[in-house]
Amino acid sequence: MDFEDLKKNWNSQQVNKKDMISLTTDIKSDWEKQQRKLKLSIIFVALSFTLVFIVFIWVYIRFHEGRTIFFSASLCSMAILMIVYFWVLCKGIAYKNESYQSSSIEYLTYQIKKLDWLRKTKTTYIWIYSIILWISLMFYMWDITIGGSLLLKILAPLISTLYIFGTMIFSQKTKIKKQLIAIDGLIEKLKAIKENILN
Amino acid sequence: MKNNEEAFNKIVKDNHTSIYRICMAYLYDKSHADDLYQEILIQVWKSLNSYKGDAQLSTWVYRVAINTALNYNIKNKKHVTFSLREVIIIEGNESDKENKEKELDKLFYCIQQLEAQDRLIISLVLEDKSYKEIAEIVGSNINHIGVKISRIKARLFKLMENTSENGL
Repeated sequence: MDFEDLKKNWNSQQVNKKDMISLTTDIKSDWEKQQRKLKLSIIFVALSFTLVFIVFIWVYIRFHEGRTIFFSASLCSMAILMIVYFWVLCKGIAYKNESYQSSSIEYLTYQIKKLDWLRKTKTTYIWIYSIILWISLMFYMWDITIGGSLLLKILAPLISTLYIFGTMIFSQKTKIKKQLIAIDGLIEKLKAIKENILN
Repeated sequence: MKNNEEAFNKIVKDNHTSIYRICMAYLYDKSHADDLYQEILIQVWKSLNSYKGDAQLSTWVYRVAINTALNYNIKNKKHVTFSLREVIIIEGNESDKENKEKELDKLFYCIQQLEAQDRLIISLVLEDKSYKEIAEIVGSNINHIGVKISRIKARLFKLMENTSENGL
């Protein structure tokens, strides 16, 4: 048996022809549903962020008089936190636009890059997010406990710090650890496929 | 949108059988092959607007199909089965039909033993795609893909031989 015989065998397969019209309609309706969902999620994110920033401005205007500089610093760092979060979110959305029409090597390289980004959000950016959140809370605590007792001045930030970093470390050791194992496995698999195609 | 629909229908009409055969060789299991085929059509539909004509339409379609298949394999790990595939209806007398079915089954069984990416490449060869076109689809150079295809063919023949000796 030579390769031409294999080709003949291959071409002898019969494939059931699906109903073209219903197939196109299914694809179209799936696509429209996906687009609707995407539009709704973008509107939801945009509205949420606008609302949060309006609340920030309102809180500042309504309460800033008579407060220390730490109150404004707290709001500022909270706004920076939201911007960082929004930037990470937007970059994540941009990575969803996969280009299936590139060559396999380009496609695999893009998938690896996307997973590297996801890994970075779970290792680096999550810490940046937590630290800014912590700074913001510390400023706020400083502002509200300024006239309080020494015990309150120590306990309030201590409890907040323990809570934020305790939760972070716990999730890093449990949930995020599992996610990172899965991500690393996928990266390894993609690299192996890419390597195999190239060699 | 109407133009897209026409283009899409033409793509499906021209490539339906080839794409489906590739799905079957890649996944072996008919239900998964159906899912992958549907997924490929969705991706073709989604990508249609960004087709700039810088590659041949058939190359473009195969790129979408191969990348969707790679992605499908990564996302769905537990789908590979090594049982005999479904009976395929081929015109002819009973013994010819049985023989052809056996040969085809053996071919698919052996293709299934190859690495996932090699299954896709050999499917393209069996679909009579030129080395140049396969190189464009996978993003490699023509000499390298030629060497790779020779290796995959050799491995496939060895598997076919071993399968004949041991039976399916």
